[in-house]
Amino acid sequence: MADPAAAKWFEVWPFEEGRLYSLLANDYAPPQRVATFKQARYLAGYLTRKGARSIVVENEYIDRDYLEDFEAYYVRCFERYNSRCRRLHFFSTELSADDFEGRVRRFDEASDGLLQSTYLGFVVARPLPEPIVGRTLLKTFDPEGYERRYRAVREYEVSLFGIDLRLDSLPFQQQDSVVAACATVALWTAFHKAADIFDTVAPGPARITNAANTIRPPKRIMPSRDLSIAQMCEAVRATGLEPQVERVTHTTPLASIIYGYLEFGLPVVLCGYIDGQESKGHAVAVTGYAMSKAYSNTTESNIRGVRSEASMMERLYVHDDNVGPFARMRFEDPSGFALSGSIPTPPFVLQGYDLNGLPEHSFSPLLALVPVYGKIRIAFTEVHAWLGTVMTFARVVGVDFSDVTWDVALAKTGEIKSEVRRRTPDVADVLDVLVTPQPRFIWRAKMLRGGRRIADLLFDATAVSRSNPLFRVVWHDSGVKDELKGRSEALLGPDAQKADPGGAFFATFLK
Amino acid sequence: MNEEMSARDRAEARATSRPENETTSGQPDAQARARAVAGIAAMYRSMDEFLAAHVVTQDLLETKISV
Repeated sequence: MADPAAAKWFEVWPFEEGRLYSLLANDYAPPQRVATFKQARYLAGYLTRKGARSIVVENEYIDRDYLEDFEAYYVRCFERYNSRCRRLHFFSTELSADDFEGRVRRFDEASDGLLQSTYLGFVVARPLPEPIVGRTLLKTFDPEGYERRYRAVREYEVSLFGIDLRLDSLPFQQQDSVVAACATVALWTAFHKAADIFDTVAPGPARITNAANTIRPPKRIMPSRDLSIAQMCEAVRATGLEPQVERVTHTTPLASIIYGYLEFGLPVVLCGYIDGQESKGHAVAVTGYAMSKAYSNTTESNIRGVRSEASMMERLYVHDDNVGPFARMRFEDPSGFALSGSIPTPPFVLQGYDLNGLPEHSFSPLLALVPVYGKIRIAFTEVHAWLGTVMTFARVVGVDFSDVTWDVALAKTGEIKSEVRRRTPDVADVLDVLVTPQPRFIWRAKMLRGGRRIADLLFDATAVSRSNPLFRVVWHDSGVKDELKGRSEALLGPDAQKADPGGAFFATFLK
Repeated sequence: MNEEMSARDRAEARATSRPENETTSGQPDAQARARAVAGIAAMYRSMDEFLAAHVVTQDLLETKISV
């Protein structure tokens, strides 16, 4: 029997769906109502699939993000909302109250190890009428023979009554239409990972909403019903970062954009319209993706001759505040969709799927917004434009590049040099590559043929827009360079492109 | 998707990379050189058009995100 004095602070329950709804419930939102919330049902399904067996409840938990929202709004309401939350921890092992009390009471390496190995994460239950699902950190799914890549997760330390637990994840929470609209929540998720990469701040939702509203709308700031893209950009600047906005059109390499930033660890906030709600925009934070084994024109067709490895993306994992964390979205053929109003012929359609594989809402992105460090000035689209030029150049001089594919991602100089040193010590100019100073942030475009590396084109991500950002090419197959150079000089002459806009680019490319 | 761009790229390829680029002596003829020069010019135009299509406009920035 658990110590009666301690028992009020925690509870231990077997995991089951109805119990989860009861524990998420509060005086304003009874369990029957919680059971109708999509996010609660999603969490129940997710945790069931993760093999949850037990729930340990911290009955009084002070959550920083909720406390900021509480301070910004709820504390000044006549209704006495509680400032304290409840935190539910999930384990894939069976625990009883007595068993758990024993594990808390005394340190035992094996016991803590068992809790760590079976820990699935936590959900903060907010004591509010609607947005009950607060900060949520859940373990991701394993690859299980399927190439899932959760690139925008980070390590979190969780202290449960002195038991130190660790978890790789990214926070999710339900939209709160009082202090944080959907746009705010997507940014809040993205800022958590950006803070890990760039050592910036990760403000709570209320602070994001207030920062966004330094661009004053002709309406109340709170309750917060919406944010414009311009306001979202302002919220990004308030964290010390810059908003990189990539417009989505029919010629946008969307999968490549997502891949390029995600491989660096940066979540991509996609803003667009949900089918049937074209007057209201929606935002999701892309945190990962899964690859198939084949290139797909539905995911991304050749754009200006560039076939991207990212076109093998089979699905995205998104934090969608209307659904849940790591929710699935698949690229669908947009020709089958006709959204009325704002975008009658959407360039891309992402179809949401529930955990049972049944289709949910379809979403058409208008733009991708990525919070980046201020020195990262060259957008993915600019790099892609140069790659299209390389492909056209090869055709013009008569070199067959039809089987060339590209893998483009943002990287830090240290990562690139480390990889060069480990993978290609036999490259002729490897020492020069390693000892020559490089910009801190680099777009690396790997040129591939059937998976074999031909060259790495290194673009200075800190360069000035519209100038030549290519500063180095690491050739793994210099025969390709020799062929391009030879054909070009024979056809056009050795200095043919000197006066062209890309003269400096091709001089570096074929150096 | 991208049909317009692909069609232009294909036309560009046909115009500029014919196997008859070279004469029997191995030297490019004047026509082949002219086609290549035109191809290079089209390449930069295509790049400019691609970048112009991705400029973020004011109306895009005013899109409201609410659901």
